Amino acid sequence: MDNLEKRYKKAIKNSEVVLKQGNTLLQAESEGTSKPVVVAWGLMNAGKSYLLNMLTEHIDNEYFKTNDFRETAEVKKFETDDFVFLDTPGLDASIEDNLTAMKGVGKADIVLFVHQLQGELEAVEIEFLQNLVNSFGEYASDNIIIVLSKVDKEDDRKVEDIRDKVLQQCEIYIGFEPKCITVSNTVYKAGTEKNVEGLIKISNIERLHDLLQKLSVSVKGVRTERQLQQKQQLIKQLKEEKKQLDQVLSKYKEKASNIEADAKSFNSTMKKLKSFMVGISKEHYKLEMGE
Amino acid sequence: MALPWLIGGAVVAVATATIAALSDDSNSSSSSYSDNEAAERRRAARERAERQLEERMEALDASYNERLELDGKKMTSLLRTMAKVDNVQESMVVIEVVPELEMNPDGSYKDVLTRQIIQNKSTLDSFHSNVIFFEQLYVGYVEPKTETVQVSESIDTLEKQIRKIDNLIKKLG
Repeated sequence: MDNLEKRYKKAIKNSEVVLKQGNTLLQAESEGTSKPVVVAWGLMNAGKSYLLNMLTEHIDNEYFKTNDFRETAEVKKFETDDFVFLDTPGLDASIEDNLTAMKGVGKADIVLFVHQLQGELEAVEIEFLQNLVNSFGEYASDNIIIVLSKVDKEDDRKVEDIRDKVLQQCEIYIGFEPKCITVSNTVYKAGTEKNVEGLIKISNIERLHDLLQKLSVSVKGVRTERQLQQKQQLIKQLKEEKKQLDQVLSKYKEKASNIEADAKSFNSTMKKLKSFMVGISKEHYKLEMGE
Repeated sequence: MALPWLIGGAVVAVATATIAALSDDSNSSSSSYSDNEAAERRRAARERAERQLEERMEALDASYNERLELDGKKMTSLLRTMAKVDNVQESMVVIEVVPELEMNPDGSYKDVLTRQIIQNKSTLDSFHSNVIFFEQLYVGYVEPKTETVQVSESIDTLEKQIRKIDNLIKKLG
């Protein structure tokens, strides 16, 4: 494979990727809902699905499957009166899952980044948060919520300690302190099942729900603005890919032009030869006829 | 071969006619010495004229063959930059009166190049028609070459991809 062929294949492949992104964006826009889209991300078993079950009032019959093994391999959706909730595969389960998880980024209006309260943010979580922040741009600090889950398993002091460390990490790695809320899904579930208001309250699920309601007001404007930014970014990328394609195309056209020149030269030689053949045969005929 | 007439045949015909005329002349001559001398002179003049005619014909043949060979080599070399050219032989075509329009009279067409290489339709058609005539003239075979086909296909794909990008930019903008 020569260098030009390699450049050709690379340019086609890269442009296909950006074309796909653009078409996905247009498709999402045409299928888009007017309701705010809330997407849960986090490591496997961080408690995303459990949290979404609680927020969508699937207390006894879980809609978003929860298990110790990887349960969510695709983005799963549930629509309430006010929101569309999306559950994503746990990060770090596999590269494919991480890619599937990233698919929802463009659709997200509000992000619930769920971190199990065992320690600080892991490297893969930080990397993913950075990608999210890049996608949200200037709206990241308003629309990304860090949810520290399973707080019932730790004492208050440790909860506070981890919360501070996570927020410090955010400050360092993503440049701001996002909204952060500590929740306990099991406490909320118990409170709901036993109808104990105190448990429901300390679970912080309702507080999180209220926060979502509050954010939903500004979501539409943010979504439009983000879509505009995404489009502008894509147009920029498309123009760059077009430039690459144009450069490769001009190289092939140079080759075509050389072939065309040879073909024209062939035509010209053949034309002169035909004319010569006609001339000489006439001359021959004249001689034969004694003219 | 679409070009059948043999110049050799024509020359033989002319020579035969001349010899016949000569025989007729001999039969009608008188028996006097002066008459014989005059007849001899006429015969010698005719023979000279025949020889000159033959020489001129041979010179034409030589120049014709030389040109066919030269142009054959040139065209083969040009074609080989873009196509597979096999079995090219010394042209068997002989001098004849053939109007240019009758060269490739059935309008045969051979796809060797595409519009991605030559955009002008008339030039492309003319090229493909000439390829057919070349094959007839030199008993050769001309086929598309992988590298040239690849150039055509790459240009086609790249142009389509660029059109897709332009359309998407329009939709996104």
